[in-house]
Amino acid sequence: MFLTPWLLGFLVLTLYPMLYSLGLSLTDYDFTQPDSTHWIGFANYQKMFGSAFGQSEFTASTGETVRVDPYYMKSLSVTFTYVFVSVPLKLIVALGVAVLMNQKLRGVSFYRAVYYIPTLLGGSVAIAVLWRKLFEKDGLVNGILGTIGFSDLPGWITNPQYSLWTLILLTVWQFGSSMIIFLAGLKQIPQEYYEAASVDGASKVRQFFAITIPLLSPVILFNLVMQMIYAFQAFTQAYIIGGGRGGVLNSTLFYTLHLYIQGWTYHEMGYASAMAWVLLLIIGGITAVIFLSSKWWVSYGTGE
Amino acid sequence: MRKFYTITIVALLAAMLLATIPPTVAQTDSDGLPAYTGGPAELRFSWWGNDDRAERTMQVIDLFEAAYPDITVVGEPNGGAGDHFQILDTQLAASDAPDVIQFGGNWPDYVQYLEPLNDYLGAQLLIDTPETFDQAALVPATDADGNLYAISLGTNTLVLAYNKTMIEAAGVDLPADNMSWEELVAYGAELKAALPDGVAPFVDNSMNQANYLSYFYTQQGTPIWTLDDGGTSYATVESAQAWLQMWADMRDEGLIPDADTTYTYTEDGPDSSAFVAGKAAINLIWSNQAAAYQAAMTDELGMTTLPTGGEPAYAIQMSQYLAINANGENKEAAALFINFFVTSPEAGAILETNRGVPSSPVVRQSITDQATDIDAAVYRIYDSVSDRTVPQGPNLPNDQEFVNELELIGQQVAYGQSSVEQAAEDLQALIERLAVK
Repeated sequence: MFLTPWLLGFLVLTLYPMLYSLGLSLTDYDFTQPDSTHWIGFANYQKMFGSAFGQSEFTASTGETVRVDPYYMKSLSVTFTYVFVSVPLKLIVALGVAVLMNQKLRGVSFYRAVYYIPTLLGGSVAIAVLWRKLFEKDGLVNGILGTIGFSDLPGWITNPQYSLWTLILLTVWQFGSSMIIFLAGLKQIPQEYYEAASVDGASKVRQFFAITIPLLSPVILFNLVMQMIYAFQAFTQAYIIGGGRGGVLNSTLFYTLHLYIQGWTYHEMGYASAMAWVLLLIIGGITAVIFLSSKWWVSYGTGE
Repeated sequence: MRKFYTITIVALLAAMLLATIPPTVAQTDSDGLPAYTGGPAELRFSWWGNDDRAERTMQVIDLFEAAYPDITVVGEPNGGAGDHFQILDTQLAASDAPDVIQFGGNWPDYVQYLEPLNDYLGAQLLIDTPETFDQAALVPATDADGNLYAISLGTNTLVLAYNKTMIEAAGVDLPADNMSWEELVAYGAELKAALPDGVAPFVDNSMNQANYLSYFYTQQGTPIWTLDDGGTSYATVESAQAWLQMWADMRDEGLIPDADTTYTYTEDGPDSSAFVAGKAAINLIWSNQAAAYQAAMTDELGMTTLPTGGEPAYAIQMSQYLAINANGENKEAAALFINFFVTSPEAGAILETNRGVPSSPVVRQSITDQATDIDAAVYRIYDSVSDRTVPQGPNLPNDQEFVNELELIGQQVAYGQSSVEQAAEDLQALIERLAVK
């Protein structure tokens, strides 16, 4: 009874659209021509992965020739690079800073607040614009590098070799929320453990790897899963920095961005729906792998 | 006595003539406006453009509301053209689109959503006579069956804007009108030698403006898209090759900036342009954007024509259109708003040539006093290309996708990932694919 409002909301606003999009993903729905929608079976999925098998076009069940998506694999590789580089880096930085913040220093709460600011600013348009300005060919970063003797510098944002790395840097810079969670985890670790280890003559480094990491592992798991899901869904920064497209030579064509352009600019809604479902499967799959592997490296301190 | 009569008659005649000349001073003259017969109505109106355009548009909305107290208009400026169409597509899919919508030459892509305007002509839309509106402006907004779908907001054309201050400082003659492509490239080389380091003669306009490409193809006798037999492309790989090779040579000789500099700017207006940033001296722009470019720069801006060569290809085109959403609830009010927007001299005095040279002779007459040097330069260009103008052709279908993919092909060449030959083949394949999609 009390669940009714939520249940209605879930059914109408979440479940129904999801199933609807699953249906759409099997059609060639173009929302500017809704009357000419055909059932095309799995052609959208073939369009996605066709290029991986060296296809350039194929014949759909409707008899029409469909061109495979030449950028799909590119968008996958961009996204995977981004996720698998930025997430570990972000967590390492966040943990490192959290350990520092856990020391008894003067003004530590001030530092905590300052380090958290970038995360507060988050995926905002303003930050993306700022980043673009910092890293463009005549931007501040090159200005500073120029004064210390570098010359002939590239445009970090525009050059396809570097543009993805500037985005990764932007993500790592926003380590604040993971840091706060790590900090809370660090506070949970009883001081006695460290004292006992010191008495046994363990170095600080040894203490970190033998005590901190294992006891923190549930928190690491949580952060890892959350940050990974966020990273797969990254969109705003890439959209702004890439000028509403996938950047120069599609070097920052994130999956979500590609999906958005296919759906909203090229009106390939059926194809975009199919892409969205594949993304769900990818995120679900990787999350499952992380959870399954967690029994090897996460300890809940239950003394098994 | 006879003399007296003569003087009287002449004076009377003069008075009558004067009375027929449209007033050049702004005055609230609501007599000439068609009456509104509906009840209180609210209209939504969306367009693309920068802040300056939004400000002017909002002022016209205020004037309109004063003339029609029963109608309120909510203005929805949508940033750049790309954003505008993405927002619009979303709104159309959700049946939540504005009542009055600004389009470009891509209106045929949206025809199923638009209200045919033939029944409004002469009633709400007083644009059915040559005295009130250039009838030629209705032609590109009419489909093959004679249905009028959109009302032109004026004409514009592509021009080459040049940085007068910079070129004069370099001690080089200003570019002449109607140079050939070869002369223009040679002029660029002369300029390159005189300009300071880090400034290129030209912005890389090879792939950032589909219309430039289209102009070149038409000159070559291979138009990208025509309405022959319901839509035919005559594009050839040779035209693509010639175009790309010309720009590749310019890149090799340093007549356009390096790729990193080029793609730092989106070149979709003065807010992000290598020309405004002082990285290049000559840039392709739309004539109605010239004032906005000038406003963004401290250097003085001049204008010249696109290069000559081959077949006539210069299109003085309809810059933008207003159309009515067929699913809107207040189509009468929407038609009245469009009528006011394009025929009211007071509105014209505010809009000036921001959306092109107005198609209403009355409005044109009333803004002649306000004509700036930039307007004068645009009129000069109109005159100097009059022997090589062609009717405005239609856009290739799937315009937005064409623009995006062009940019990618351009980037592949600029960054050396694609040879000119490969890029020419890609370009030809792209045109062939979009023509039938």
